[in-house]
Amino acid sequence: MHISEGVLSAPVLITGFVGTAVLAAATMRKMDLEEIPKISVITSVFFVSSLIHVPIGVTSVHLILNGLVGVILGWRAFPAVLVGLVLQAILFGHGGVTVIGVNSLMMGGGALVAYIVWQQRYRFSFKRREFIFGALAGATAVGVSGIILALALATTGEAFHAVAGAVLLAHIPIMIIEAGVVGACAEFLSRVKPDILAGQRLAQSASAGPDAAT
Amino acid sequence: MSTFTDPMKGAGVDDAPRQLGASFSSFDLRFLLVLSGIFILSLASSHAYAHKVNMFAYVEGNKVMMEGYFADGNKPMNCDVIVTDPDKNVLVKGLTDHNGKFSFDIPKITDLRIVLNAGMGHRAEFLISRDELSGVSPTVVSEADSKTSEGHNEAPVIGEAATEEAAPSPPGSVSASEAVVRKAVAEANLPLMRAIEELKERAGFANIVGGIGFIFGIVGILFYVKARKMLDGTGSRSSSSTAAK
Repeated sequence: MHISEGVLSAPVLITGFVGTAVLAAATMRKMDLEEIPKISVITSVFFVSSLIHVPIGVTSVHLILNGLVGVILGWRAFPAVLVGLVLQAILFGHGGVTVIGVNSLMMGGGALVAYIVWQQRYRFSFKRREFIFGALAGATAVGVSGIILALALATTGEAFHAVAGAVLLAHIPIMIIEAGVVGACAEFLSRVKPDILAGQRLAQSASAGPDAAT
Repeated sequence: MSTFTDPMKGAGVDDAPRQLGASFSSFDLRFLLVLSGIFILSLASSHAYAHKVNMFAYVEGNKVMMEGYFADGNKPMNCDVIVTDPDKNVLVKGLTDHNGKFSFDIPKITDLRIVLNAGMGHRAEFLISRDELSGVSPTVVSEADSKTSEGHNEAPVIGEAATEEAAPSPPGSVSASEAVVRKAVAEANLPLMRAIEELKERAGFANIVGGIGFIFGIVGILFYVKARKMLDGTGSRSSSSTAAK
């Protein structure tokens, strides 16, 4: 999901940049040295993910994976998404430089909501909890990004409901795929290397964000 | 990278719960290599681009042909096309057909900006300059016109009404033979133009690797700054309180 250049008006673009600056500053506070490699790895994954196409019938969709970024990085997901989008805009022309603010709010917002959803897993305890919540987080991230996209487009005079409906409908297949991918990743990591996941409650957890527990 | 020295040691601090060098070289690096490997392999075998809408347009006779396509090969059907002049006046509006194509008569000889709106925030634009519309400078057009008015009009006239000859040169009017030649050239160039447009859009393998390199470069700079702070003793003594700005 990228909004192209020239679609939105200047005030909306500026609002996007301001919002992105505020969120980036807030989510980058007190960053540990040890977090940096992890963030960079996930940033790379996110940067490359939108280039991978999954053919579905006559069309194809590409992974977004902002949910995975949220599940693994927590609040640090936002700067990761921002860096990934900047590079995509510069190197591949996805979106464009003027839209980086809005696009970061769109994708990064989805990632942060995914993290919030992911953190709810402690309220429950059942088998395959990590898979279920990872999947929920993955699907939610795409859905939230779609809603923010519709909001942004609504400023151009398009009807919000119609756009939101169309966007969400178009992204149903990708939401299902992302749910599977993020769920599987979350479950796998929780078994193999649980302390890499955001907000994991562990004795030696040294890499939770400013909010080790919700 | 595997011989990354721990800045903590230099600062005489060894109460870090996990050694940075260890965490960076063992797990994260392996994890990254595996993931990057998977991604790059999957890219090598598929189209390396996202759902970006592209378009290109060309002049044929006195018509402008435009064609839009998504980077994955789909066609933008029934999408709005708006043609404006440099002063933002809307000259032509229309919808693409099921092949993502749209054509229109040249509204006037000026720089044309063609905008394709494929919905959901996807938009592409293409500029056709004045020169492309006339193909030749106006003076040459009038010369060509004076030649045709001497009466050699056996060739089929493309995009030009014969009755218009007496009138002052209508938009895009050229002599018949020239029109034929130009149409042939345009058709011959079409595949080339398409290939060039697609090449422009394709995310090259080098770009992907470059992007990952960028990310690592940023990480390197962050580490450098942090390490400097620690060695100078200006940074904090624990591993978890300097804010990365």
